[in-house]
Amino acid sequence: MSRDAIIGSLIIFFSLGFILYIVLWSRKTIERIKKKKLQSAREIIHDIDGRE
Amino acid sequence: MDENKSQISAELSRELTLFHITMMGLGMMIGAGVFIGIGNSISLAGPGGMLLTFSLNGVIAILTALSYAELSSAIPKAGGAYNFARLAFGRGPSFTAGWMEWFASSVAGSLYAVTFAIYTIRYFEGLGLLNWLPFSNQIGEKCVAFFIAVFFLYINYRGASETGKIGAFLTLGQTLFLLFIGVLGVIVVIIDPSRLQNINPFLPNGWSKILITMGFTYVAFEGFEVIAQAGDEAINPKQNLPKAMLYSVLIVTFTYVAVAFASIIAVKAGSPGVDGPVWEWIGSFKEKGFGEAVSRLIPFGNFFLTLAVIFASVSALNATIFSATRASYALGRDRMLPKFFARISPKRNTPWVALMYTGGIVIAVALFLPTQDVASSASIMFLFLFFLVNLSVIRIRYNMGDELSYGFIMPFFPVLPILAIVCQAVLAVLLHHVSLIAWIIAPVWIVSGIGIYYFYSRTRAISTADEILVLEEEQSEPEEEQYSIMLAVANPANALELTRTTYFLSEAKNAKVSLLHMVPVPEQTPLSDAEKFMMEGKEGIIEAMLCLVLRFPITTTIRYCRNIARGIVGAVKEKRTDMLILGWHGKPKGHLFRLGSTLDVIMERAPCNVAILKGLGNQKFKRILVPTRGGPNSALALELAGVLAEKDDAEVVSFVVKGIKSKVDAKKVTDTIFERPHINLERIKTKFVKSNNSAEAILKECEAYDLIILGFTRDSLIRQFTKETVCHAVAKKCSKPMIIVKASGGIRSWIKRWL
Repeated sequence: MSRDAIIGSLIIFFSLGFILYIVLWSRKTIERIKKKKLQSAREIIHDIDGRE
Repeated sequence: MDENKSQISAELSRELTLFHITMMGLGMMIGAGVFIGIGNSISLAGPGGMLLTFSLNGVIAILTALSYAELSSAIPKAGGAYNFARLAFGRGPSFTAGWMEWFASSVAGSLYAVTFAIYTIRYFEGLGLLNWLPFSNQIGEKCVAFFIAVFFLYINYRGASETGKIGAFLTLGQTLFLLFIGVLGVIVVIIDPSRLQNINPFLPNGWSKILITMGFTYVAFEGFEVIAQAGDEAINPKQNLPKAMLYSVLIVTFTYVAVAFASIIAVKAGSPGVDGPVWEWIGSFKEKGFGEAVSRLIPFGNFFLTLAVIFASVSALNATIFSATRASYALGRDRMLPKFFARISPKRNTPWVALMYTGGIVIAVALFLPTQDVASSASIMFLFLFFLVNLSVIRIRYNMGDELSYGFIMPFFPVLPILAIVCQAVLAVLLHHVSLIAWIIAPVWIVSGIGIYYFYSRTRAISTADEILVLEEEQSEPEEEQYSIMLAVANPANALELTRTTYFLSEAKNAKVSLLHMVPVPEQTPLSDAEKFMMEGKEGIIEAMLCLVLRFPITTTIRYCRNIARGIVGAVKEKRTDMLILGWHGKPKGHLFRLGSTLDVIMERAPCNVAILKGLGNQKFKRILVPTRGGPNSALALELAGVLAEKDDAEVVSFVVKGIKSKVDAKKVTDTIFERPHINLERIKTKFVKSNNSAEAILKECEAYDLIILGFTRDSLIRQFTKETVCHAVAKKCSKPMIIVKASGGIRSWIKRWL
């Protein structure tokens, strides 16, 4: 397998993985915002930072 | 009953679930880009480059989808980029956003029309049916593109649409078909690993070509932004709009990569007709490369593929036409463009002028530009549009982050939107390698738009009530325990007639009553604008209400919806109605619907008791017949009969028809029902008859009665499709006043629930 193929395959793999991660994280965040009835961006960021 | 409840409110019917709006985005995205893009991109970037193209475009798309998701959750009202830019930067950039969106959607529509034409001509050419044509296939493609565009412009003018459940399932089918192709590709590789050699060389033309192919295939990833326009009609928009956008990009990216992979390995190297590397062979067909590859992968591949492309492209064409029309309509409505753009057809209630101008762009681009230039023009305009949206999300977060109520915010802010801006700028710049025409058209359009704004719109734009569009969802008040009856009126002229019976029932139940009038609005017109011109329905119901309010305390709601049945069912659920009452003219339409397309759906789906009144007028009833079969519907029928009998001092007869050879104990049927609460046994007599034809027996008995109250059938779904039910047979033929009832929770089969 050529170097281009290896690098390219890794990029494809990480791209798809990144998209999946973003969607799953977003879904979790949406549910959390709804559950805790958070409103402004500041409240949400504060809650996320606290969670992480 | 509480007094002075007489008020009229107008509301929009929220009918679209997460599934519907996700399919809406998917339907727009899977339109043409992938079908056209595979052949063109593989010829430039090679097999590995094509896979990288779709993967990396997916990443850029998800970055912009995050911006749209955040903004839509904070500003769920319909409008999309036009509203976002207005909030962020004011009217000038807002006009530019709407102006770009109009052109971008129109050009995308051209692409879908051209894609439909290419694959249709390709299919018939393959069957040898086009040899007689006196002109080339290219001219044939242009002709077909013209006619399909005109057809869907007409469909949009009429207000018809394939949206709703049918459209959603068509999109689901298309997506599953493409995923099936992807899965098939993986299976083929497992069976014959030598096919992986098709991927070598991975990047025959180097890394530099990838950015170019990403540019002109980016149009395959536009479509999720249309979900933002569903803000007025989506259920739980703050949560569902962002989810739908992100899900649609996720599904589409994985689908495209799978399909691209399957295309590469579809053909074995050295097969008949394949000279040289497989990727070069696919690339030689340009926009038809995908079709050529996949048709060799599956039996009857050519036919299924053509079918899939046709469905995908017409679905996306229909959606982009009304999306583009809405964009120009909004500009006309706000006087940023001449006000004739906002003109609504009095007959069709569609924005016909905006539609006409949109059609002009769609047809002109489809006819006069080569396919690659069409795709590039669409891509570049969307890149500029998304560039503006990514800027808007940054500005709005910084300026208004504490004021808005967000349902979602993106991670790694502001790195991700800045990254999106940079990537989109790079892709847009590099597109000049593919299409110089696109790089001329796009700036000309934008600059002309800026000119129109400065010399025309700036002094004429009107301030709208939602200049700053921050719409909170109404908090519903805690529901009272009082029994709730809703009377849904299609024809205000019938309201008084229906209300008399409704009022008797509400007195007996000590219920509160609301009057609901549904106004269907075509897809082409935003629901939020319907109230301004749908005066016909409003005036009629106001007249009825003014008449009624003197006699009955009643609240009135006018509800704007896409589909009457869905709107009524939605209203019932939202207002937690215990009983829904409707009128029926007594003439079933067609053989597919028993009572009518609206009533059948309501009877199936309304989660409450339902009573349909036919021909009751203002009569008094002395003899009431209730055909009884057992079950909750019969029990409800007897309960209602008891209420009406009490009012008019009438006699009620529970009529049981038993089959001649049936061994069922008919008396047991009635005894079981009579044990239920709310049934007034004092007024009920029972009559038993033996007959093998229940409908005939009931119709014969009806003659001696003033009113028939019938329970809706409980026959199985299959039986209902193959044989007319008793209820429907009686309802059609009986000329007496009638009430058809269905109890909450009656008629359920999992098939019906799913359908």
